[in-house]
Amino acid sequence: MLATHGTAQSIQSRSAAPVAAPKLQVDDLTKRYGSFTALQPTRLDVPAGEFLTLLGPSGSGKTTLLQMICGLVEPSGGRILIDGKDETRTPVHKRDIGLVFQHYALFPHLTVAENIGFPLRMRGMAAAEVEARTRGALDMVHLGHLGGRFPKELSGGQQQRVALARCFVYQPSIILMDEPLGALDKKLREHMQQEIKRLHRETGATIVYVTHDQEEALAMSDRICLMNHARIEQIGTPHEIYARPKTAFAADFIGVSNIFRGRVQRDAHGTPVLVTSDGSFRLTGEALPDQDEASLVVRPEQLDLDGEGDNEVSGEVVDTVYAGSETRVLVALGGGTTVTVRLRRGLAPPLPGDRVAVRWRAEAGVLVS
Amino acid sequence: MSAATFQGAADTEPRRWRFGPLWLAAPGLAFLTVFFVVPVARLLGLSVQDLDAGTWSGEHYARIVDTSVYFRVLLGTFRISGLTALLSLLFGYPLAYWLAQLPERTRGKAVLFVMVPFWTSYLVKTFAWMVILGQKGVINQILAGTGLPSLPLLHNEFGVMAGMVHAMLPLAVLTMLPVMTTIDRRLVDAAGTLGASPVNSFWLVYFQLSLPGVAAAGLLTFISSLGFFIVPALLGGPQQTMLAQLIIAQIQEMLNWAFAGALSTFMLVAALVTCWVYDRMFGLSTLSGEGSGRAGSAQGRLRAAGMRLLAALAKGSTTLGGAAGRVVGPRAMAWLLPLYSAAVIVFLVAPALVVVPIAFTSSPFLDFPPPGYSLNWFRVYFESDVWVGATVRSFGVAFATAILATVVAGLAALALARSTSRWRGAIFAFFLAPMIVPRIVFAVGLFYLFAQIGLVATDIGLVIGHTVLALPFAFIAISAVVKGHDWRLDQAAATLGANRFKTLMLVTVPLIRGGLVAAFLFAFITSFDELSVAIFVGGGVKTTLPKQMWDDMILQLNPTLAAVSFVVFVIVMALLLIAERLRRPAR
Amino acid sequence: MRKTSGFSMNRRSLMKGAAGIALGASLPAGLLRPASAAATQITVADPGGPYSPAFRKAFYDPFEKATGIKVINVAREAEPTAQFKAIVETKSYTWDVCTLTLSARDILNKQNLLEPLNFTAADVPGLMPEALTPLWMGTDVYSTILGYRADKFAANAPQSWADFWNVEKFPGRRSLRKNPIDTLEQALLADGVPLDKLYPLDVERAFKSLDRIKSHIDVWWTGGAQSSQLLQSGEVDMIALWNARAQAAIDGGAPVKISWNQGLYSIEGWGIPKGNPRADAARQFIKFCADAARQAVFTEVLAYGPTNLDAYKSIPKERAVALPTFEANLKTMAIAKEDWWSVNRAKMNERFNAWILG
Repeated sequence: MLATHGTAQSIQSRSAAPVAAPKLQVDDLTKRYGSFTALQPTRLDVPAGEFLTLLGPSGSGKTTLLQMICGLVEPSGGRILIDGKDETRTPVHKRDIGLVFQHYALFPHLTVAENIGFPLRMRGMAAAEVEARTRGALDMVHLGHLGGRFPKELSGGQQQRVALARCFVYQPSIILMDEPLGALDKKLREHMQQEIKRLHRETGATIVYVTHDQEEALAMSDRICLMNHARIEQIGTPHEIYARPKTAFAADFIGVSNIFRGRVQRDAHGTPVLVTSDGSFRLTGEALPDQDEASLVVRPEQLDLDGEGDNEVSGEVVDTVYAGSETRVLVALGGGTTVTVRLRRGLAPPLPGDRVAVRWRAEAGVLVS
Repeated sequence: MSAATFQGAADTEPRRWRFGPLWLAAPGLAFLTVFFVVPVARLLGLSVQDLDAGTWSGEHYARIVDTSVYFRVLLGTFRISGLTALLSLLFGYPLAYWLAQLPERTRGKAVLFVMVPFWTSYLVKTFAWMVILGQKGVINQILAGTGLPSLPLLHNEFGVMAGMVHAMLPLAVLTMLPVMTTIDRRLVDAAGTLGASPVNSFWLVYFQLSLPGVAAAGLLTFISSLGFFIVPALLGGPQQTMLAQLIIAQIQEMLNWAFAGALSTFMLVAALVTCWVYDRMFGLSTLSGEGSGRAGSAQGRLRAAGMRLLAALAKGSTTLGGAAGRVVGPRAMAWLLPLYSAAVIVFLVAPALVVVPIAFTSSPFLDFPPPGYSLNWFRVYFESDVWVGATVRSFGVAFATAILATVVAGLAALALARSTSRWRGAIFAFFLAPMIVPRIVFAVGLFYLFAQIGLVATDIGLVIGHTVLALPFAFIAISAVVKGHDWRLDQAAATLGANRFKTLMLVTVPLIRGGLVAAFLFAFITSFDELSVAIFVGGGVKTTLPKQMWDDMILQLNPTLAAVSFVVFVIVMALLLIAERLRRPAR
Repeated sequence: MRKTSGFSMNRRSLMKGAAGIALGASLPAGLLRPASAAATQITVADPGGPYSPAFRKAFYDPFEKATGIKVINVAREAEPTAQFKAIVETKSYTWDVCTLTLSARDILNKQNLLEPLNFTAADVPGLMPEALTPLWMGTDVYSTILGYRADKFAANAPQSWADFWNVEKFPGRRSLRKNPIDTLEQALLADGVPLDKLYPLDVERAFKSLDRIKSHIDVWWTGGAQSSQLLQSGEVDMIALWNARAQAAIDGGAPVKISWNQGLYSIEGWGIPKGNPRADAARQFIKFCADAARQAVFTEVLAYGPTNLDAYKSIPKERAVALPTFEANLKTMAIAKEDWWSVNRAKMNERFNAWILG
C-alpha cells in the first residue's frame, strides 16, 4: 500500500521512485486569491485503489485541493496528473473523475433514477444500458424501490446513497468526496462510513475523501493527509499519524493527547530529559539537540495511575468522565497542566480531590518539535 | 431535512397564531371585494341585463358570436400578447442569467438600468419610439447617412413589438431574476463533474431549474400585454388592433356599456382560461418564484417530451456553439453574453436617451436631433401651476398607494406563506385578478361606487383605485421573498420574549426587506403611470401627471412632455439609489 | 330614463344595503358648495391643452367679471360621454358645463342625459343655424381637411380626395383616420360623389372606394396628436386630419399646407349634465359664449372657426384664412351629417373594423 509517500516539500524528502506511475499526482499545486493563499505549493501522490483522506480544520486548504483535482477551481500554479497524463487544463466534464458533494447536489428536477442515469447519458450511452446500469447502482445502495421518487421525497441518508450511486455508476477512475457525511447524525454517519468502505472494496476505486472529523479519518482511510494552514502537515497511515505525530498540531488534532512543553536537557546520567514546569521526563529514541524547545506527547491510554513506568508525576484528581466503554480521569499536575488518563479496566475510579501518581514508560512518549 | 423538522414542529403547535394565519389576508380580501369585485361585477352585469324589459338577456353575447370581427380581434390580441411574452423571455432570459451571476453589489446597480423604462411614462416612451423608428426617425436617418435604403420600422408589427417588448422586458427580467439567483450553482458544478459539457449543464440542469421563473414571467407579461392599447394604436398598423381599444371605444365613444361589459367578459374569460391552463401546467404559486409544486405529479408524457426537447436543444446549441466558437474564437465567445446583455440594456434605455436631448430642444416639435438647445420647455413646465401641481399630486398619490399596497399585500403574502389551507390557491388567484380585468372597465365601475360614497375627485379615491391595480404586483414581489423566509427565526424571537408585533417589526420585516422594497417600487410605478382611473376618479379635477400629459397632447406633441419626463426621471433615480441602499441587507 | 337607468337601479339597491354610511357621505367632499340657483361658481370641462388658456381669455374671465360667478375649468377627455353619463347617473355633478361634439351631443341626448338650454336663436343673434339646438350650443367649428407636406408637393399639390386617391399622379406616403367617420365620406368624394349629395352615405360604394386605396395607406392614425406628429415629422406626405392639428404644425414652422376643398366640418359646443343644480348659471354662461366679440378672442390661439360669423369683423385677415368658417373656406366644405351617423355608427364601426383587419 505504501509504495510511495506523499510529501509536502518542507516536511519530508521523497522516498524511492515509485514502481508504477501513481493514479493521481499533484505536483506543486498552488492556489492564490489575490494576496490570500488558499493552498501553498503541494505535492501528493495517490496510488490506484487507495482510500486517502484529506483531514484538517476548516480553512486548511483541503477543499481547495479537492476542487482543483476535479477541475472546478483553476490552479494558480503546479500540475495535476492522472495516470501520468497532465490534466491540469482539462475542463471539468472531460476529466474521468467523480465528485460527491457536501450537500449531495442532487438535481431536484430529476427523479432518483434520472439523477443516477445522468452521467451515463452524458457519455452517450444507449437508453437500455443506462437503465440497466442505473438499476444496478440503485441495488448496490439498497434503494432499488425508490428510483421513481424525487430527491426531496427522500431522507438525508437516502439522498446520500443516491449521491454515492450517481458517482459510482459510471466508474470514474478517481472518486472525490467532499465531507459527504457532514449533514448526517452520528449513528447514520457510522453506518454510511461502512457503506462507503464496502463500495470502495467492491469497486476498487481510488478515493480521495475530505473530512474534518478525525475519528472518521482514522476509521476509513488507507492513508491520512493532515492539512493545516494551506499546506500538508503530515501524511501517513492512520496508525502512523496517531502513534507518531510529527508536530504538536498533528498530535493535538488527532485523538486525545497530553502535551508537555519544555526544553531538552541531559540529566546526571547523560540521558536526555525534557524539563517542564511539571517536572523532568525521560526521553528515548533519537532525541533533539539539547536546549531545543520541544513538546512531549503521551496518549491517555499510555498513562497509568498505579502501574509501571520510568516517568512519574503526581497530581490531584479533578474529575472522572464515564464514557461507556472507558473511564477517563482528569488529573491536575503541580505545574499547571491537566492530563487525561484512561483508567485501566477493573480499577475503581478515584474520587475528585484524591492525590494520585501518574506514570508512563519513556518509550510511550513522542517528542515533537 | 431541516424544513421537514420545522414543519413537524409547527404541526404539534397549531395554536401559535391564534386566529390562524389566513386572517392576515382578511384586510386585502375585504379591500379587493369592496373596491374591485363590486364595481367590476356591476359593470359586467350590465352585459346580461335587458334594461327595457328588466330581464336577463344574451343579446350582446349573441352579437359577439355573430360578428366575427370581435373574435378575430381577440385572436389578434392573444397573438400580440403571446409574441410580446415570447420575445420578452427570449431577450430577457440571457440578461437575467447574466445579472444573476454578477456579484450582488454590481447586480443591484445593473438592475437600475433594467428598470429605466419603468420610470418613463407610457405616453412618452411611445412617442420616443416614434422618433426612433419613424420614416425620418433616428435609425432611418443613420441608414440614409450610410447610403442604405430606409426600413419600415413603424406602423407595423415590428413597431408594436419594439414598444411592447420594451415595456414588458423589465417585468420579465425582474420576475426571472430572483429564481435564478436562488439556483444552487453547485448543481451546475455537479453536472460538470458528472461529464456534462457546459452546454448540457445549462440546458439539462440550470435551464430546467429556472423554468418556474420563466413560466411566471411569461404569464405576467402575457396578461399585462392583453390590456395594452396606447402602444399598439400609435406604433402599429391595422392588423395590431387590440380588444382593449374596442372596449374603450364602446365605453367612451358609443356609450354602449352593456356591449363593453360583454366584450370585457369575453376577454376576461379568455384570460382566465389562460391562467387555468398555466395553473394545470406549472401551478399558480410559481408566480411568486416558488419552485414548481407539481414536480412530483409531473410524471406524464408532457415531462418526458419536455426532457427530450431540452436534450435536442442542448445538442443543437452544442453544434451551433461549436461552429460559432470556431468562427469567432473562444475568447470572443466568452464576451458573447456580456455583449448581448449590454445590447439589451441599450434597447431598454434608448427611449430615455432620446427623451433627454428633446427636453432641452429649442424647437416646438419632438425633433431629433434637436436643431438647437434651450431651457424653454423646463420654463413652461415650472411656470405652470397645473404641471407642477400634477407632479406633486402624482408623487403623493403614488407614495400613498405604495405604502398601502405594500402593507396590504405584505400581510396577505405572510398569511399565505404560513397557511396550509386549501383556500390558498384560490386566494392567491384572487389577489392577481386586478391584473386581468381591463382597466377602463374597472375605472368606470369604480366611479359609480365612489360617487355613492363621496370619493369622486378626491386624492383618497385615486389612492384606493391605484392600490387595487398595484396589489397583484406588490403581492407577487413579497410572496417571492417570504417563501424563502426562515420562520424559525420568528420562533426564536418569540422564545426570547418578543410579542407577535415586535417579532414582525424587529425580525420578519427587516429580513424580507428586499421584497418589501420591490413591492413598494412596483406599486409606486403602477400608480405613477396610471391613466384610466385618473381620468374617471380624478374627474379632471384632481389631475395626475399622466392625465396632464394626456390632456396636453390635444393638438400636438410638444417637448414639455420630454422636459417633465426628464425632471421625473431625475427625482426617481435619486429615490431609487436611496432605495437600493435600504434594500441591501445589513450584513 | 330607459336604457340609462341600469346603474341607478343598482345603485339604489346597494345604497339600501349600505345604509347610513353611504348616505352620510353621498356628496363628494371636494364639491360641497351651495346647490342653489344662485350659484357663485361653476365648473367647466373643456378639452384641456391650449383650449384652457384660450377659453379663459375669451370666455371664463370676462364671464366672471360680468356676473361675479367664478369659473373653474378642468380638462375633459376627447370622448367625455362616459364621464358625462356617470356624472348624471350618480348625481355627482363634478362638471356643470362640458364641451361636446355633435356626435357626443346626439349620443347623450339619446340617453336623455342633457339639460335644456331654454333659449332660442333670437337670444343669440349672428349664430350659425346649425350651432343651436334646445340642448346644446356650438361655440367653435372644426373641419376634417386634407393636409400635405409643402416640401413634397411644391408645384402640383393634391387638392381633392380624388387627388388623394390618385397614387400615380401624387406618389407619397398617405394616412387616414382609423375610424369610419369622415373616412367613408372621403372615399365617396374620391369616387366622384358631389359634396352636397353625400347623405345618406352609399356604404357599399364607399367601401369599394376604400378597397382601392387600402394598400396605399401607410398609417391609420388614432389620436389627434399623432396625426399632427405624422405630418410635422414627415412620416407621411398627405393625411386626412383636423384643421387645428395641421395648423399647429404650420404655426410651429413645419412645411405643411391645408387644402380646404371638400373638407367636412363639424361643431363643438356646450352642454349641461341633466339635473344639474347650477343649471341656471350654466345657461347664463353658455349664452354669454355666443357673443361675437368673445368668440373672436379664442381664434387668436385656436385655429377653430367661430360659430357667430359676426366675429370675423374683428378677426385679422391673415388669421381668418386659417379658420374653417372663413367664407372662402366654408363654401368649399360641407357639414358632416350627425343624424345619419347617430343611426349607423355602431354598424359602421363594426364593418370598418372588420374591413381594416383584412
